[in-house]
Amino acid sequence: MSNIFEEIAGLDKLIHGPARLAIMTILSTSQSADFLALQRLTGLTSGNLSAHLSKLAEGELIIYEKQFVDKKPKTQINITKKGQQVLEKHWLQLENFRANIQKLNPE
Amino acid sequence: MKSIIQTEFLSKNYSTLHGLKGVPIGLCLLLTSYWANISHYPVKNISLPIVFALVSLLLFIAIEQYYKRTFGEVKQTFASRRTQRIEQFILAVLALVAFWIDVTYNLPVIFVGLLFAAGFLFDKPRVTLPLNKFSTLKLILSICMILASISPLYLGANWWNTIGVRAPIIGVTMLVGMLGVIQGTIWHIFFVTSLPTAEVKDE
Repeated sequence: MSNIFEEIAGLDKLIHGPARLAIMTILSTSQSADFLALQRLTGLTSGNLSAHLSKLAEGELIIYEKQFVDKKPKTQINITKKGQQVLEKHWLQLENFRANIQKLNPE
Repeated sequence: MKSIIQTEFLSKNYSTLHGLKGVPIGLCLLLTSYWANISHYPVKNISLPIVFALVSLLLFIAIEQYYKRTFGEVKQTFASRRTQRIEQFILAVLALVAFWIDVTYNLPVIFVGLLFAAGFLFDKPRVTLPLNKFSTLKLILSICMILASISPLYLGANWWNTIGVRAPIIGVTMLVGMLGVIQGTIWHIFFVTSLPTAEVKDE
């Protein structure tokens, strides 16, 4: 049982929350996404999305680039190689965690 | 907040699910085939179909801008864009071959219609393979196209004439255009209603 708790404790907290996991999933399935698309796909307010993106960028999981298109600011966000690896590892951990739980409760 | 699986589906197919983009193409097909149906042959002036094509192109650009400004942009990966372009190229070549067969031979099957049905169903495999409301609608409309394309087999060779359509290929193209408009509009509604309306809570 302690192994399972260790597994939970070992999950990367930077991306474990639903909002950041959704952001990382969107970015991992595309070449890049802009701020507005991320907002539409996650339902986050711009303030919250900015905060989450800052945290992910601090962890070097994403990079973003601000440009001006037709005099309007546009933020383009990409996942980094490290971000891709962290996300893959996270899903693998969740899969293992699920498998271990099923072993404990085979029914 | 939607489930991760739904979020992944929406982001992978973000631009494909922008249904209204299909409306100008459908309208162009519908109007051009309607024009072909009511024209007096031999046709001397083809300015009207050119106008339809230009207006459709402008409408398409306007709709694309609307989606970019309202819903943002998710760029597909290089690999998926390349696959999509190859699929579109193959479909375009097959469409020309099908059109040539339809106008050269008097067969009871309209190959252009069958090709549109196949293209409708398989041109975006990632959208059509998981069974969801988007793919179900595609499936229903494709069946309608197939039934219309093979209709001379079970309704007789001249049944299109009885409803005022000069040739089966014109009738099928009109139907394809109409179904394209219907699908585009419904997909837009599906797309908008699939996006989350409530903010995700981490706690």
